[in-house]
Amino acid sequence: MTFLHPVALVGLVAAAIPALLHLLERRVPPEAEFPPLRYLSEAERQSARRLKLRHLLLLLLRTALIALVVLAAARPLFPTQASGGSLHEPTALVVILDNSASSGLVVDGHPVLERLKAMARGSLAGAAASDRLWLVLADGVARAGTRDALLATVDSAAVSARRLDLAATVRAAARLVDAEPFPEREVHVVSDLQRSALGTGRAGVPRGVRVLALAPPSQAFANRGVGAARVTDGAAAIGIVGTPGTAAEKGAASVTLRIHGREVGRALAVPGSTVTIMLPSLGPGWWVGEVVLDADELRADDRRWIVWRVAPPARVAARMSPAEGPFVAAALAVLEDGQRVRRGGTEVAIGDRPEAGTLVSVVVPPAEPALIGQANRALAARGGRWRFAAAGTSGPIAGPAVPALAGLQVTTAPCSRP
Amino acid sequence: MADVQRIDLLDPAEVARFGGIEIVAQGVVEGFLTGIHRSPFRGFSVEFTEHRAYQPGDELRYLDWKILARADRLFVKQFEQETNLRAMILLDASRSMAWRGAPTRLTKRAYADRLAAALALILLRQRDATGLITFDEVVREVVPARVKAGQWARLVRGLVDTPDGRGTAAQAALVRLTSLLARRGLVVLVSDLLFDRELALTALRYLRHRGHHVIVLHLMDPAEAELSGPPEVRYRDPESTASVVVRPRELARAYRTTVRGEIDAWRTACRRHGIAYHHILTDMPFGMALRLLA
Repeated sequence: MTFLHPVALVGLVAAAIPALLHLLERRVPPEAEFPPLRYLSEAERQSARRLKLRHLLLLLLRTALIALVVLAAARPLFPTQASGGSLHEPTALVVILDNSASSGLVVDGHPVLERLKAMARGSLAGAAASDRLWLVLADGVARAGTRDALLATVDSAAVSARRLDLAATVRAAARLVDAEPFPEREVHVVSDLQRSALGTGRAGVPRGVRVLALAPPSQAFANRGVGAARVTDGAAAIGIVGTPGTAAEKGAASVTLRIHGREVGRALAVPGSTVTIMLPSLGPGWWVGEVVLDADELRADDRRWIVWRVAPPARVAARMSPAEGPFVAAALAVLEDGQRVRRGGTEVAIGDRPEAGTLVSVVVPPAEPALIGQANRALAARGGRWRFAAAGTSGPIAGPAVPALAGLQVTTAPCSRP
Repeated sequence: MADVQRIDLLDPAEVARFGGIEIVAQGVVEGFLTGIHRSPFRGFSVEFTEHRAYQPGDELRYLDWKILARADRLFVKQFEQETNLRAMILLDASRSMAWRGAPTRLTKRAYADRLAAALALILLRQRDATGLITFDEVVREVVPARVKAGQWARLVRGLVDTPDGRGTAAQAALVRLTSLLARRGLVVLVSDLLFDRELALTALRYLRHRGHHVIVLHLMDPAEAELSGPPEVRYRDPESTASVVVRPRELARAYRTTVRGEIDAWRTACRRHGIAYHHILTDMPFGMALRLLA
């Protein structure tokens, strides 16, 4: 049983009036002589129990009468066969449960999502078999189902990283229920009504569709989170963001980088800054890392996953003349020590002309000027746009283009020009 | 139609307006005796004098059956009143008797005075020695039983001189009365019987044991028989400080049952001890009350 005007139930206080009147009534009755008082006392003694019972019943009756009047004013609703045993007309109902990231906010030790789920359960629990139900989560998908099935879905709902556009979702839900031939059409929005979820649009709701917004009491909490994370040059660059104008914006927090659950680095960072954590030497392949920030009330943005690929070392073949080879050989040795390259392959060829059949050719100027033409022809054959020119005149470099090099003494060296 | 004009059958309160106790009592007795055409106390305090031939209408109980058996003739016995009967009227003058339930009715005391005067007049006319004792907590007035002229006036004066009761009728006074009634005779107790029944019956049993013929006239105002009044009222006993707050409408049925039970208890107890008991409401015409005694 439910009530159409539950506020009228406040009138139940009036049910105490008969009892109060009974207790507070202190009338002084008129006085009169009556000689056969002994008969009166005897009659009263004999009927005392009956009179007490009668007074009690009368009190209960009066109290019940007032209570009944108040209950009638509250318009109780009883389940009938016509309504399929429910207390309302058949209803098309969409429950929108906003389990977006902001619902992960922890207030008083409990996630906001739990409160939202309780509200959603309350909306669904009142549904009857004659109703048609849908449940929409942050993914925006309308799931049709029975009450029990949707309740199970609500129970299993977790905080989602997706953003829910409430205006668009309400608009879609309203259209959905409006298309159903039910006497009652309702959309229940269960959300923390985060500003970013409301957007700028306006949900047009057809006439006859009632939209009920259910939101737990909330307040703005200072927040910081991992804004961005990427791996470059053997290090993870992690950007920290925070709620502007709050203490969280200025306070430093610990950032931890884990790879496969193992902590590989830690740093302190303030919101608005970017910290770099060096990665250990990793083998080739795809790597998954987790950036974890000290937990605050909103935990959804305190953790971020990053993925990067470590390429295998390139296979290098060097075909250099002995006169020029020491420099290239020393460089290759350093790269080889760092497992960046490996000798004996064909992926990269280092020589005085491009090698056919290789992916990358590193062409160094030939030591003999006579071989420059041959090298340029090889470059042209491979589609290269650069060409070696003749060696310049030895002496200081002069010119306004590169002031920093002005006056630098050079010997003859071939140069390449496009 | 003629009966309606008889003063003994009129409303007692109306009759009381005709005059004092004497006038009212005489009027009542005249009407009463006219109505019954015979002695109300036949066979009592009378003595056989002669026979006369039976006439239709004579009571069969006065037939002389011996003459009928011997001579097969119908004769009735005639009696002569004697003067050796001593009747004593005991009148309760307690405070509770000075009460009436409505201004249009007589108080129980006023009703009792007039009834006692009428009864005494009838007895004296039969030449029975009649006396009066009034009492409440104590014996107030004693008029010894006499049959001489002027006795009725003395009895009436005794009634008038007894003020409305100041106390309650007590069993002690009844016991005191028994010592004043030395010679056997008729004892008529006129009271509202608002005292302990067992103690009063003890005294009445004693009188009965002494050979008295005892008649109890239980007077009651109609308002005492049926409880009514405002929705809530504090009733106070005029003879004590006791009081009780009641709602008459709620208690009416139980009260009626209690009163009827009390009347039945008096009637049963009196019958058990050979005492005549009559319940009289103060709105009952005097003639009808006297007829109860006939």
